[in-house]
Amino acid sequence: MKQLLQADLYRMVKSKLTMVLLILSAAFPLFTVLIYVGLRAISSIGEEIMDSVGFLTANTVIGSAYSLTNNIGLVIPVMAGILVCTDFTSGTLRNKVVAGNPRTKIYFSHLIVSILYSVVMITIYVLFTAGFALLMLPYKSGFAVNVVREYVFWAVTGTMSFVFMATVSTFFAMTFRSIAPTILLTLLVTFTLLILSSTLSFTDYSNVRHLVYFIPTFSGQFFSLTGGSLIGTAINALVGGVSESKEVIFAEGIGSFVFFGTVNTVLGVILFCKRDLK
Amino acid sequence: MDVLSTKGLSKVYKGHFAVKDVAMHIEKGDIYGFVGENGAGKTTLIRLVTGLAAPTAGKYALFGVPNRDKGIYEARRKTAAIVETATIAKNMTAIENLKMQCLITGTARSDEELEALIDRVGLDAEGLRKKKVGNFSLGMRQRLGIAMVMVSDPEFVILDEPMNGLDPQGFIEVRETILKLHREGVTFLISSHILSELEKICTKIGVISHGELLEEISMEDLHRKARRRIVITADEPERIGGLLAVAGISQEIEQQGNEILVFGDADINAIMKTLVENGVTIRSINALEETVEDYYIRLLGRGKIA
Repeated sequence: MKQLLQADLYRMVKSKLTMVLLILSAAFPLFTVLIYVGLRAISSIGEEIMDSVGFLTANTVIGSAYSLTNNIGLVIPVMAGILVCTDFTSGTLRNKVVAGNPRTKIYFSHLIVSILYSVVMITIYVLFTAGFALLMLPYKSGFAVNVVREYVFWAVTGTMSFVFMATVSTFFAMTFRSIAPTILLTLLVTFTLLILSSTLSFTDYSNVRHLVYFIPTFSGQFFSLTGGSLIGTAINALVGGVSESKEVIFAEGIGSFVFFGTVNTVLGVILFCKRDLK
Repeated sequence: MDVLSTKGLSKVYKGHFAVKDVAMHIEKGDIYGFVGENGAGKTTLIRLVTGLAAPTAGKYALFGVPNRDKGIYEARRKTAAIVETATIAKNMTAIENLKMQCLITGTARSDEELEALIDRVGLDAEGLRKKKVGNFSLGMRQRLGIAMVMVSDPEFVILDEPMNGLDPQGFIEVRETILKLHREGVTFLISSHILSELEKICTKIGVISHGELLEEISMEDLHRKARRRIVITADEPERIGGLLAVAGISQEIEQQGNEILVFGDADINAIMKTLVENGVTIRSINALEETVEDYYIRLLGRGKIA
């Protein structure tokens, strides 16, 4: 397993995709923050009002950095899937099988590298976003009652959503062994989950809330670093307006990532072990 | 102990046998030529024994370890293969590909050793230091593929059509590399649809056609079978050997069922005269002369009829 991981990491480091995504992870935050700065400049709303309601502030930019539908949020899972696919398209996967590596280990090696790739890239993106946002936009501390808890929940939920998406894109890559379906299906899952989450947010789901919290990505809406601000209060009111403790929402959200990530991984391993390889 | 043995090995794709009931045996030290026309099932069988595909029926053993045994992974570690084309990452240089192969196979090699390996397969390590493999010719990729196979010092090497795309010089270099490794104790399974490619290096061949292994034969026996011989079908075949020996027709004689094979340059008229004079009823007598290639074509023809 160790040697497979080393080989996959070596391949990842040598891949142009890694360099491209590194550049994007640094460039997109600057681009996003500059748009916010521009919007603030042309906005007719006074800066004091914007700051007081948490509109176009550093908090809102940083808070949405983990969103799966922002620029890099869509790119990272897709790139992770493509990275796995190149092992099939170049045929180098054959070398691993022929050299006596069990397929389960090959799958897990890809999964671990895919997760690592996603986590590193999103962390770089978030750090750059925070850096640029704090440099160019106002930040108002004390939005949340429990700041540390808010940041921990935000970072862990955000990171876990990318871990989950890495399991999804790896599943598609290892099952279909082709770039096109991997990209399409990964994007389809992302948008389906987000549309489902957003739609449910505007319905009364209080009777089935624990089921709803178990939809991957749903809980992310509660952890946007805007709590305490006018916008944050409005969002929390819109997101069902439930009076659940954030700890419960956080735990169930993480539970959903782990559960569905495990399900698609087990299914992926079974399918990969049964398939004939070219 | 067989390095590779198969029993009743079959693979069905969409209701069609790609490989059917194959029983083959490769012993340590063999250079086993696996010959058959395009689409005969060579690559499918190689894909089965390398673990890329699962058999529909039958079994195989690598170094005595059955394919369903957990120890098969350890047995595979002693094996290296190029299936169809050398599988190399085109965005990497030759030495980077070799480094990755080292990681995959768990082999420790210094950069100097890897460069020496690149030189050994006829590629210029110095000149190719920065060149991505995507810019290599097919022949260069085949040679790099062989270098990748050699990285882990395997005991058993499987090469699927290794001469494809090679120029005559490359052909000779690959052949010499194979022979050199064979002298060092490596066992080979080499597939090809051209027998003449294998004739000079193989110790044994297996002829496959339409998924069925038609014959498995040592090169020595193949040459013997393919050379000039007189085939006699007669009553009391067991008497013929003695009669011809007494008559001084002391050629190499072999009985195969009702047929008597007289190898060499024996005079057919002298044989007929001896047998008739001694009261042997001759049903048929024919002088056959064919090359190894003729024999192979005849065998394939038989496969098609079958």
